[in-house]
This record gives sequence, C-alpha cells and structure tokens, in this order.
Amino acid sequence: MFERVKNLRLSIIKQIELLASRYPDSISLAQGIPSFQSPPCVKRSVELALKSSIIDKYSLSPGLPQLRELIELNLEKQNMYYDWETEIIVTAGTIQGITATILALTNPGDEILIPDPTYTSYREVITLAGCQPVYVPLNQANNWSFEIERFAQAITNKTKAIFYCNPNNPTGTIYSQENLKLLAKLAEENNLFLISDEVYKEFTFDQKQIFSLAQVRRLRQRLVRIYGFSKAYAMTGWRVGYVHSDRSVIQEILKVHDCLVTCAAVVSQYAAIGALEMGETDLKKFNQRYLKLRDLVCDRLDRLSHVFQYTRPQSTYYVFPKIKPNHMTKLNQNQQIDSWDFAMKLLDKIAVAVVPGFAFGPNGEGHLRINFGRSAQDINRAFDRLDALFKV
Amino acid sequence: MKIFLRPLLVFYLKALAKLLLWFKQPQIIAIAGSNNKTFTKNQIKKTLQAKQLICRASPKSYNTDIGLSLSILGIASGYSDYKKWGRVLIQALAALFRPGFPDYLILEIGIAQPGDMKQLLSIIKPRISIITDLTQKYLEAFQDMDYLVKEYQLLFKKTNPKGFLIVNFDNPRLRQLAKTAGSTVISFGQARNYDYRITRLKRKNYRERIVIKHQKHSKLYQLKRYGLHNIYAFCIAVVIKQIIKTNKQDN
Repeated sequence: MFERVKNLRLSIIKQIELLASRYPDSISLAQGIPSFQSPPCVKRSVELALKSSIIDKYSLSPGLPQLRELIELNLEKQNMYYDWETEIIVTAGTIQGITATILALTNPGDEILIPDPTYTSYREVITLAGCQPVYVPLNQANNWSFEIERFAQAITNKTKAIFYCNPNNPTGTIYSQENLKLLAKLAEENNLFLISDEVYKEFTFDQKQIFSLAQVRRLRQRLVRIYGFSKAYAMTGWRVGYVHSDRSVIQEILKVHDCLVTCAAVVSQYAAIGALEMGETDLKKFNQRYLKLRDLVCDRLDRLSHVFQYTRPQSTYYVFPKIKPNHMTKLNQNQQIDSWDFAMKLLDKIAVAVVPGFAFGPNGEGHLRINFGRSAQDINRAFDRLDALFKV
Repeated sequence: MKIFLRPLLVFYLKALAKLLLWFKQPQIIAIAGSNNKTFTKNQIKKTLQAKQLICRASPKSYNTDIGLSLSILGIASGYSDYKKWGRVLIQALAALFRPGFPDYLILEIGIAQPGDMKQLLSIIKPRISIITDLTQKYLEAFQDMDYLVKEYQLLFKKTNPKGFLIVNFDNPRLRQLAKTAGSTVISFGQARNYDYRITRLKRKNYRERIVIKHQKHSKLYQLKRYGLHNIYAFCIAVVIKQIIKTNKQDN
C-alpha cells in the first residue's frame, strides 16, 4: 500500500504552518507568502474576463494564446527567444511545471543533482518521479555559491539532470554568469538536462542583472526554464506560471501537463495576462518595498549577532541565518538540539514560526529560513519577541 | 459613474485623435487579426526604423477604441487610476500642439465585440491594412464565425482604395474574404501561387531559416525569433518594405 508515496513527506514548511496555526498569537515568517495583495491590474483583468463569461471553458492545454504571446514578448525583452505556439506551456504554478518537467525528462532510478541547500519541495517531486535527489553542497563561506568540481564529482552514469533555483531559495544567492556557464558546460559534456527554476528572478535588490542560461541558444534542447507569477506579482493564490524550452522538449512535457491538469485555471491565466500587460509599475514598487524589508530584517538580525550569523541576501525574500552553536544548546537546558527543535522552541516559547534549515537539505542544518516578505509590523513584532528571548 | 464617464472619454479622445490625423496626414498601417498583431507591429516598426523612416507604433496592445486614440495621440493609458486619467485628458489636448509627428503610424486593431471594427474605422482610414490570421480566439462575443468575419470584411471595404491589403492566405476564411476587397490585395503564405511565398527550411545555427519568393526573386533569411507567427511577421515587414520602395520609385 502507498508504495509510491512512502518516501514522500509533507513539506516541512507546510508542517510548520500547520503547527503555527494552533498558536493564536503566532507570527509566521515561515511560508513564502508575500504580505502584499495582487496588483489592481490583475484583479481588473479577471473582472473583465468574468463579465465576458470567457473563463467557463478549458483553454488549450498549453494555455491561452494571448497569454503565451505575452510571455514570448516578455521573454524577448530578456534575450530569451521561444515560440509561444510550440515552446511555452502555462502551468498551475511553478511546482506543477516542475512536476511535469521531471516526469517527462526522467525515468525511475535516474539521479538528479540539486544544490544543497535549496527549495524543499524539489526532493519530494524527484522522489515522486521515482528518481534519486543527489545533494551537492553549496559553499557557505562564499555566499552560498556553488563549486563546479562538486557537481562534477556527483555525476554518475545514472545522472539525468541538474536542477537548480536561481536566485536560490532559501539563501537568496544569485549564481554568477560564469558559474552558470560552467554548469552548462558540465551538462553538455555529460549529456544532462538543466532545469532552472527562476521564480525569484524579478527580485534584484543590488541592481544586479540576473543571467539565465535560457539566453544561450545552444542550450535550448538541454534546458527547461520555469517561472511563476506567485512571488514577483504577489499572486501565490492564483497558481499560475509557465515553462519553456525547445519544442522537442516542451512537446514531451505537454503530454504530462495534460495528464496532470488539462490546462491551468483559465481565470488565473487572465490574472497573469493582467500582470504582464499592466503590472510593470507594481513590480518595481514591490521590489522597492522588499528591499526596505530586506534591510529591516538585516538590521534586526544585526542586533542579534550573538545568536545568528548571516549573509545579506542578494535576492528572494528570504534570509538564511546560521544559529551560533552555543545557542543551539541554550534553548534546551544545555542539551544539543537541531534546527527543527530550535524552530519548535521558538514556536513554543515566543510563537514565532520560521523554517528549520534542514528542510532545504543536509547542508542547511544549523540554519533557519526567515521570510521577510511579510509586513514590517510582523517582522518587527517577531524580532521584538526574539530580542526578548535572547535578552538583547 | 464609470458608465457615463467612459463614453465621454471615448468621444473626447476620438475627436482629438481625428483632428490630429487631419492635421498631420500620416500614412496609417493597420494590423488586425486574431493572433500575432504585436509581433507584426514590432517587426514593421523595426524595418521602417532601419530604413530611417519616422514611425510610431501602438504601445503594448493599445487596440481598443480608447487604446487606438491614445496611440495616435502618443500618450500612455491611465488604466484603472482616475488621477492618471486626469493627466491623460490634459496630455491629449497638448498632443495637438506638440511639434513633429511620425510619417507612419503602425496601429493595432482589436476586435472583441460586434461593432468594434466600425468604431475603430471611424477614427482611422488605413493606407495599408494587414490581417495576420483569423481563428476562434475572441469568438465568444459573436454568434458564430460568420459574424466575426463580417467585422474583418469591413476593414477590407474601408481600407483606402489606393492602398493595400496584406492578407495571410494560409487561412482559408481570409482567402475567401479577400474576394470582397476594395483595394489591392497582396497575399502571403506557404502555397505556391501567393504573391509572397514562404518556404520554411530546417533550423540551423539555432536560427529559423526561410526563403521568401516574390515574382522571380527568392531570398534566404535567417531569423533570430522562432515560430511560424514570427515568420509571418517578418514576411509582412518584407511586403511593407517593398510597397514603400515601389511608392518612392513611382513618386
């Protein structure tokens, strides 16, 4: 019974949210939900679609033509050239795009290399597909960048793909162009697919351009890029995103996508149209606010420098501080605890929910992920409680 | 309030746009069709600019009654922001007195409701009209395809009789429709007997490769964008370039 799912676990992030919901006064800095509402242009687009009764039926399986046209135009602005008719699929959020991609590209028993730490659900999707996630440790000392030698060492004859998130969740690292090109070279040499989840690509705090391997035409048949509207446009509830690749790859992914959802919810596709047509100003506004929140959370962490040590995130809305070893014991009557227990103690003692670092891979142990996409008020309240607990 | 304000806004912008067109007399290139309007618009703009011709294209997908007037006046929409619309009203008036105006306006025409084409063609009279494609997209508001086709039929009739209609002949409904045209029809597509015949070759060096044959001339092109819609857009731009070249020679 339940053979296929026996090794799956409910995402730690969702487990934490469930536990936090039992504390009436809890403040959650756990799940990656932005505190903003979806921009008015998104709602306006949906209102118009509702009035015209054009959302009642399925769209074509790869998505509404007008949305895919907009996606192609948007990609073109970023030097990525893909044909909307045959190379772009609108998905029910990024995770569905990821699932369809992994199921299409792999066979049971294949290995997929993922950076460690990285987004917690990758492990589950890979496992669901009957494949083996292989963690490749990132270099914490160098702002969680990756070392190409480590990826090279992890490749076996079972390796099928390298799957990464850029900018990386939970570390907020933007991988350098140089490093990504080395990764591409490695993939080419070993005939591997590259799966690039770029859901945080719009978060560019330090005005850094975020390079994507999808800009390299040579990699078209090897690379699948995944993007979602959830984070950038504060549209987590709409569940809409897209995948794109060469037509030879995307037509295979489309078969799985069709099995999973037939098509992304049409109402959400209209929401995405609104975002792409008119959301540019909101995107900039959100970015400025996230920058302020990033600085706020860093200031607050600086005050707790005896407890946490962190690297300033370059992107995303997460910071991934390391818990100083002495505080791993202090909270538990001088007994050594891990990041899960530490997070549980925080929830128990001060009703602040954060995600334990081990959820993102073995290399994340000893860290916490803090979401600063929440309101400044929530962040300040949570940190006031942390200050009190750690006696600042 | 919106019910009263919208018609007033449409009337105001339309009146100013028409006045501006009457003053400046630009060549109007109108792009209609279910798909591919924006790609075609971008490609034409790029081609005209490469020829050092002064042109302006509708921003984004400004292709409704309000959007078309704004494109002619050269101002941005206020979207759902009432304050911004206040500024738009002033900018629209100021547009009449702004020095300089493009020689070519490349405008998208969007048809989503019965009567849309009539409304849009009451603002502009295109010198060149393009129909990119005709599919069931936007069919929801029409009883059936015949009613949607009637909208496009109006464009075939109302384009300047001395002008041109550039039509995608790969689409069977558009081939039929072309028979009702009041101006010169230029056909393009993948069949042998079209004015501009496209032959699609295998991609090479990560580029789309096509041959366009017109009369006795054939030319190979390599495109950096992919897909049939981009090939169509490119071919349309080639046609426009040829029309302008021929017109110059005639003048």
